[in-house]
Amino acid sequence: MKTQQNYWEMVWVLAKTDFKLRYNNSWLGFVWVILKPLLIFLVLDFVFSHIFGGGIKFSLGLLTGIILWSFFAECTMVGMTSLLNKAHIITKISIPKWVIVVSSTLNTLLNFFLNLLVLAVFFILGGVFPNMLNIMIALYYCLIIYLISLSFSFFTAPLFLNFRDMNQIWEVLLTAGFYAAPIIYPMSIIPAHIQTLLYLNPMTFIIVHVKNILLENQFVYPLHHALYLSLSFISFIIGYLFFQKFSQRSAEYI
Amino acid sequence: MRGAFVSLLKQKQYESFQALDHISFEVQQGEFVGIIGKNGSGKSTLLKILAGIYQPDRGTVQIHGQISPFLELGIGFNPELSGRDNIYVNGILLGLTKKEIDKKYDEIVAFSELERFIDQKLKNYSSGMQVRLAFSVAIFANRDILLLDEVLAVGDMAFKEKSFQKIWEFHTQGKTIILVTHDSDVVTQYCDTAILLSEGKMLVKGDPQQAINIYTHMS
Repeated sequence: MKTQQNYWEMVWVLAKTDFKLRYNNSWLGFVWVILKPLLIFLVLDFVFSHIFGGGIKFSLGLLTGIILWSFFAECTMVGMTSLLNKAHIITKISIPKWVIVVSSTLNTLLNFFLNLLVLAVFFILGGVFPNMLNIMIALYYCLIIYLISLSFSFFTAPLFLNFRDMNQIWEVLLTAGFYAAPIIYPMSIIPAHIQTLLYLNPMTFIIVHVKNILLENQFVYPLHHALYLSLSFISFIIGYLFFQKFSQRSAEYI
Repeated sequence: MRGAFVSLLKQKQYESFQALDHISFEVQQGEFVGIIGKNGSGKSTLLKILAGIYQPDRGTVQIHGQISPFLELGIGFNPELSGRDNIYVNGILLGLTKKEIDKKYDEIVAFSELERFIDQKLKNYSSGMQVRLAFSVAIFANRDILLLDEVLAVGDMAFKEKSFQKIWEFHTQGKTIILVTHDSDVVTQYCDTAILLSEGKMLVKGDPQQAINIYTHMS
């Protein structure tokens, strides 16, 4: 009935507030959303295009990887800390806790879309035009990143209330994960047995294939995609059930 | 140095504290209930359990109807947002839909008497003005059951009077009101029933005058 609508309105109004506050009084603050990945890209491109031979496709692949990874990193970090960051709400009123997690992470999704626009500009400048279908598939994978980040957040947000060191640990793991995914290097230079290991990083699969789809117009191994998607959805469902069970007492652990 | 390491390895433990013990009562529709007790006796914990913020370790809470918790005013208020934006954030958190707020917006602002300042940021409001705005939203977010945690002690005399009038109006409309207060006059004048808590236990439930008598003897 009406309450369900009210919850989605809560999600929306909280996300909007976060967005307004984040760029409050600072025009440059907003620009930073786009500038930050670009600057990281410039540094890494400068260093590694010499090592790996460079070329326009290398640079576009690098930028794609950085933007996808930043989204994952930011979204999981915000999601994990969301319940604590909204303590002033959940200790005062009983609202479904998923509203908090979803509204907090929506903001990073918005940042990400802005970055995608920048990426599109770079593709156009670079003269690489993937066909429409492939762009749709890539966008679809972007939503899967959001789904994965959300299920990660569902697992970690209630746990974080009890283990407040988790965000520090996650920050280190994110740095490690950045190098354990084929962002700055092509997957082809990695020995086969280590490649398998790299696929333990959930972002590896997406980065490899989005790069393939956008830069080479190649959509390969449909079976792997089906498997990956099923795993993402299963983890999302388990994450949600876990969250429903363990977020009930959140207000008492803050 | 060693101390720091030891405490690093030790798991952070929450000291468990039983705030409430075997509390059980029924409230009829339309009843005006006052909850009294010293600081730390469990009044607010009881309200938080009724509001669904905390979960009871044992036992259940059965509620027929929708609750409006006014445990704290201005939930979600942000100093960097305008009065208008804050009305929407707060109202939606209190369970109003955006449409309902649109409809009641003018009334909310009128009740708060802050028409001139409504598009200014909340940080420019005095604390009294902030409370007035918060209370006005809360007033219009009322449902069947109102939980009030000393929120009546707000604003200047005139606004306090006006707010209490409004609460009383709800009571006459047949809404159920559960109020935590330290004001014994309020309890004896307005409440139908009083609950006296002491160290998490319910000492008295019944006649307000009797409860107040016992309470004043305790301290």
